[in-house]
Amino acid sequence: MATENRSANKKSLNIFGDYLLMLIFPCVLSIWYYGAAAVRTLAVCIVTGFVCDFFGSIIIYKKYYAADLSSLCSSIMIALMMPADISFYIPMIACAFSVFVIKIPFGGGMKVPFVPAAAGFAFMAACFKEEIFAYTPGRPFMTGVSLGSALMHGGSMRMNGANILDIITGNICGPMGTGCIIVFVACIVFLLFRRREALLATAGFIGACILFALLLPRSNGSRISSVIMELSSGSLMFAAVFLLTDYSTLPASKRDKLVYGVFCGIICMSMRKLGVFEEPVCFAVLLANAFSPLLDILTRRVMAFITPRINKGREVVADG
Amino acid sequence: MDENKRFSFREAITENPVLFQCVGLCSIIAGTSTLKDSLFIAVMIAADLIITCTLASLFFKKIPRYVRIALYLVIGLAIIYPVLWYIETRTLIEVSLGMRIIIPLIAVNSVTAVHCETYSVKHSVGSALADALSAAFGTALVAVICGTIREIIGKGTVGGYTLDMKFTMSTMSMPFGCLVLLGFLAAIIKALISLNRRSRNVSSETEAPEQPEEIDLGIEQSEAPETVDMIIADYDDIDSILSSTDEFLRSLNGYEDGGDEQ
Repeated sequence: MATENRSANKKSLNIFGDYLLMLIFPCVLSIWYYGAAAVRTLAVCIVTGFVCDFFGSIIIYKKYYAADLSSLCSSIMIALMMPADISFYIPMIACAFSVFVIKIPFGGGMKVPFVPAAAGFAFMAACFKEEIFAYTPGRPFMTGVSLGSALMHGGSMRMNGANILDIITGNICGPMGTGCIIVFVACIVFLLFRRREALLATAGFIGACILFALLLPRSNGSRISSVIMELSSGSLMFAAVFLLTDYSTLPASKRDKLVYGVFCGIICMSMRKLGVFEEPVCFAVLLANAFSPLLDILTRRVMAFITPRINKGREVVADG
Repeated sequence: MDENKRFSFREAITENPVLFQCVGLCSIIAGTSTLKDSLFIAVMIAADLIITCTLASLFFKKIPRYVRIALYLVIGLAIIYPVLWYIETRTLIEVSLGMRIIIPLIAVNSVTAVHCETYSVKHSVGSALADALSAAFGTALVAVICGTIREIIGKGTVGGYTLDMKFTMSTMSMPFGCLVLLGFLAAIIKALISLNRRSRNVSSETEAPEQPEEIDLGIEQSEAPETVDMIIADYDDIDSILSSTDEFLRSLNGYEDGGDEQ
């Protein structure tokens, strides 16, 4: 039992250590763009996550394992999805929610059925919609309107060729650490070496989002610009890299991972198109988490139905 | 089960229908967003439960089960509909649209069906009434607690009076908020019960009477029999025990076969 616990702790340390390493870059960028406000929000989230995890462990008579980095990772993810100058109690409640309602009742960061960071953020988004999606520019040269808001309200919006660099570097209004696409591409490359299979969900998700943006663009510009804006707005790429690849919620088989990602992408883009929230990616992730076992069963049944027919067709073709 | 059951506050908490049996969740989750609504729900559930359980114990013992279930529904409607009609037409109490939908659904709540089927139809009227009272009290308590907390956190008011709160969380007024709250309530009560048990065990250990001193009667005591652990310790591992058991069974079979042949 003790050996099992030790190996589980080591595994948790490895996985969340990787995430922590990847999260350093968005944190640095958020501090670069938003300065002291970003530091304050990050600090509030980290301290709340630690305190809740520590006292939660005491309440349930469980030994606190300092190397369990799951709550730290979740806290940083929550902070990065928030606006930099948000009131301190909102990220605080979000972190407390992710620990007390998701992590501790389900037995720790490696056993949760829902992504804790997504749950914490979604809970707060439902409670404080105006505050969560009220972005202010961190630097004087930043554009004043977030891409998500522009896509949601402005049908006549076009992408200006001059500001494409601002868009992909995250130099636009939005969540404090989820704007820079270049960082997330680097994280994907990192995951390619460390957890290649998890990227199937990311690939499915981004693929579904791209297809959706191509078929049903929300801007009046070209379809390519629609794709770039959809991928750059809000926390979509951040969710693709950090939330969808969460170890405990990811399905086991490769096929299910891909289906999970595609399902999440479709839900996310549908909610963006039809929903009331500017950034519904966390709700989409939670819905995908909830439907994950059902998707697994459904995919198996579909494959069981299709495979014999395909084989039969092949035999017929081979016979001439 | 206890034949002469009495109303017990303890049972209403430790065997709470909503928190531990997970019955009647629908009406509690849907109807307890404010204190006023939760009081209304609590009274209606209590009335339905007490009357239906008493009637079930008195008259339904020899009726087939599938008919009984329908009868609980009919009785529930017979209790709830006149009350709702009376409140709406003869009093000034304002019933919200949501409550008008939820209250008739109390007639089909699972608390009544479960308690009537599992207890009332098998026991005397007194016991059934005591069981119904316990269940009704437990359900009402949870409804009122949920209503109060949800109204305070979700709307910043309690019983209609505005509290000076810096922020409110509207999610708590939604069904999701009630589910989370019920989970926490169940966890807190479970923790309190286990704490209580632990403290009882500790106190019983400390208060245990001292063992009398052994009196030497001059009789030689026989050697203590070997325990199972000692027997197992003679073997190297569990495989050897299994193989020897297997051999023993085989030899038994061989003897029986031989006996049959003879």
